[in-house]
Amino acid sequence: MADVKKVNDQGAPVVGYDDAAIEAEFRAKRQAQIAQDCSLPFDPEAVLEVRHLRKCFPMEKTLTGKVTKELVAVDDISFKLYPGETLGIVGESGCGKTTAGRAILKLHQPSGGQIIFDGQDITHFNSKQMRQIRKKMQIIFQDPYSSLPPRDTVGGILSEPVEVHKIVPKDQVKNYVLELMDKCGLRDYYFERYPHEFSGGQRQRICIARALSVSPKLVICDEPVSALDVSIQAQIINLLKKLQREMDLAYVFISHDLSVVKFISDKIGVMYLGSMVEFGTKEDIFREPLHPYTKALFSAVPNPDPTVKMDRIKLEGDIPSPADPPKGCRFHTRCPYAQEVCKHVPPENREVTAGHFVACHLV
Amino acid sequence: MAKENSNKGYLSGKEIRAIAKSNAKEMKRLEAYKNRRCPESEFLSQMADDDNILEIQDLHTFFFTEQGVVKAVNGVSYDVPKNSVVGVVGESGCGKSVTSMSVMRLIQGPTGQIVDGSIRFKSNEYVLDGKGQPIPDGDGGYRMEEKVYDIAKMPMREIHRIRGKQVAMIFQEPMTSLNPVFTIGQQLDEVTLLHMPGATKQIAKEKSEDMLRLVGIIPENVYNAFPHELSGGMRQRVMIAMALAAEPRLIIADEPTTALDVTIQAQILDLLQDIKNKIDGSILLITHDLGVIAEMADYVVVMYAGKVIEKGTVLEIFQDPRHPYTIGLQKSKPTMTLDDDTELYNIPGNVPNPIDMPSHCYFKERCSMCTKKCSGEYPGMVQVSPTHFVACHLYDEETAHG
Repeated sequence: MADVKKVNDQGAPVVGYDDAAIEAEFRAKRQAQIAQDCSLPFDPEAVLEVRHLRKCFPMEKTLTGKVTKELVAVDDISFKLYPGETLGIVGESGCGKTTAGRAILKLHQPSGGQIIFDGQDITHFNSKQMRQIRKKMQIIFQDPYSSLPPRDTVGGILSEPVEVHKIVPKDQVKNYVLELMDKCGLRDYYFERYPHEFSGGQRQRICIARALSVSPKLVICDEPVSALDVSIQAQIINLLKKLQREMDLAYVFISHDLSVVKFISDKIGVMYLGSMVEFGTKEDIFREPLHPYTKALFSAVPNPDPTVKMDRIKLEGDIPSPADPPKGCRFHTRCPYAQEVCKHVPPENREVTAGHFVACHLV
Repeated sequence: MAKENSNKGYLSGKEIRAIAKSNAKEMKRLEAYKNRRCPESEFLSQMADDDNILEIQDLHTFFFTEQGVVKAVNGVSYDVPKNSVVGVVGESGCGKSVTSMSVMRLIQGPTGQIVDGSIRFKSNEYVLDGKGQPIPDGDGGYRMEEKVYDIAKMPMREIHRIRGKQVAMIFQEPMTSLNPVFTIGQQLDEVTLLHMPGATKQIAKEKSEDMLRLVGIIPENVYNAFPHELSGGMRQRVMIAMALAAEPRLIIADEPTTALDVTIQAQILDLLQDIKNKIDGSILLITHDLGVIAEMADYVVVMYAGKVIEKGTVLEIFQDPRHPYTIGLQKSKPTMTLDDDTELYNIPGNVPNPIDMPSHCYFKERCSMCTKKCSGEYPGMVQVSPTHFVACHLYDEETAHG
């Protein structure tokens, strides 16, 4: 995009960038790209296909209700997920990873892009149509203390979705639930108990059992182990892996803990301020991180080996406000390698090697 | 108390009343002890080792709840040497925070009480004349003297000698530990005005600005700002500046980076390292993150269910862990360098109920290396090297030979 530099009266280029022209061109290009990608046929193998997903929240409205200012929480993310695979989404708080997860489940109505689940474009489904889809896509929340109803027994919590979605005949519900509890490492006499009688790890097992009670194809795990202790974390991660093998589940695993994501994922997407800056297989990303943000994120993780002294890539400052993101590359304010071009021209998402996408000018 | 029903986890009304009665008696006695008036000599003490700045010995901090007595800290002993970082690691509920709160005497009464044990702290304070004013030493400073206090025996009315001035604390939640209705400047100035003799508002402001610069903040932008205008990382920096403002000898950092993102965590850890070298003091770092401990600490204390189960230098704990819990904890943490991704090692089960602790080793039910001896009494501390101690029956032999 070097051709959109400012020109003087004689038409000769001058030093500097014409931000307005760059943005206009970037938008037009992206529009064309989205239109092209969204008309492609669906991948029959994939359980979930997300194309250029975008979610904006209105910040200011006029009296007539017209939105004058928007907060772009998720900006143009795309990926495919096959059965039995795990996609890890990592990023700092406020980068839009949770919003992305919820938009995929249509708990937030996406503002743009396409979500193709199980061969159907569900982007514009209404709530009645969604009800049929819901049993195939489930979510596990971060906080097991607030995501279970306190006035219902474990048996009640687990039977309700089975009854609502008519998974098994009514007289078999209890046996089905007991079997499920056994699978998730819950003793059968927990059936009569209430959530407050359990510790965090046990509650998270109940949440997992509830999500799996309708035999879904896709489970969004929104920081499922962040609230747990290390020894319990390992139990839950092993359980999630075991269930994935048994039930051929696809996971979207949202977390800020890189070591956990590395352990559980097959593919990894790194998010920064709403956009996916790097996407690839786990091997690609951990062997050769290309985006400076990914590198910095990896080097910031404390190493539990006191003999190793790491040379960190230090990031200065904080993540900028998503309400007013920086121009050009959004990471340029904190990037140690930022150049003039980064401050004005938004980088395109390029495929560096097969399946490894990076949005950076310097790669 | 609660014996016949304890298996089911329910208490009858009679039992609850019996518990309440015995608790009320005990709490009243301890509250009176806390609020007593006494001469200084009663809480002056001697350090066991002169190189230490803090010695916690056999500390018991209990919570008298309606379900029974929770022994949150049950006989904890460790030392903090001069100019070092001691890391305390353990799962939630293991008593690591309660220990540090006991040092600050911030345990919420009347339910929470220090029941037994001593916390010896070597303070360095101004020599006061008859009117309670510090005596100048002639070089522009004041005369100082070292005193050893037993914090556990100090009455509450004397605690201001230490709290904030000699021992400062950095809390986990920078969002909730700053006062939302005062500016950063006001809150920082208060520390200096309280603890520095002869401080004026002008001196306090200069000192606050110095402290902000020390933690990497440009004071002009922040001094007049309110806490809500700052990000999480910035607030934690302000908290650190506030802790440093009174030039304490010991800083207790209670999970200082848990609420922060990794990149911000890296910044704050760098800052703490940097500050440790600049000030003449020690840091007691409490965290559940083994990575943070490995990077920061010189000595490590591992706690489990209210007891210290292993302590030693950072190299001993990470390269030669002895207690099955320490070994399990290190193996169950997925790391960035781990290549095998089939299954994580995990410690089965949960921490035992803190009200009904067994008399044998608390880790027995979850331990993979159990022996016959483990059903017996609680294991004592075994010394495996001059600095390395472990509480496990597996190593009883070593002392017998050594």
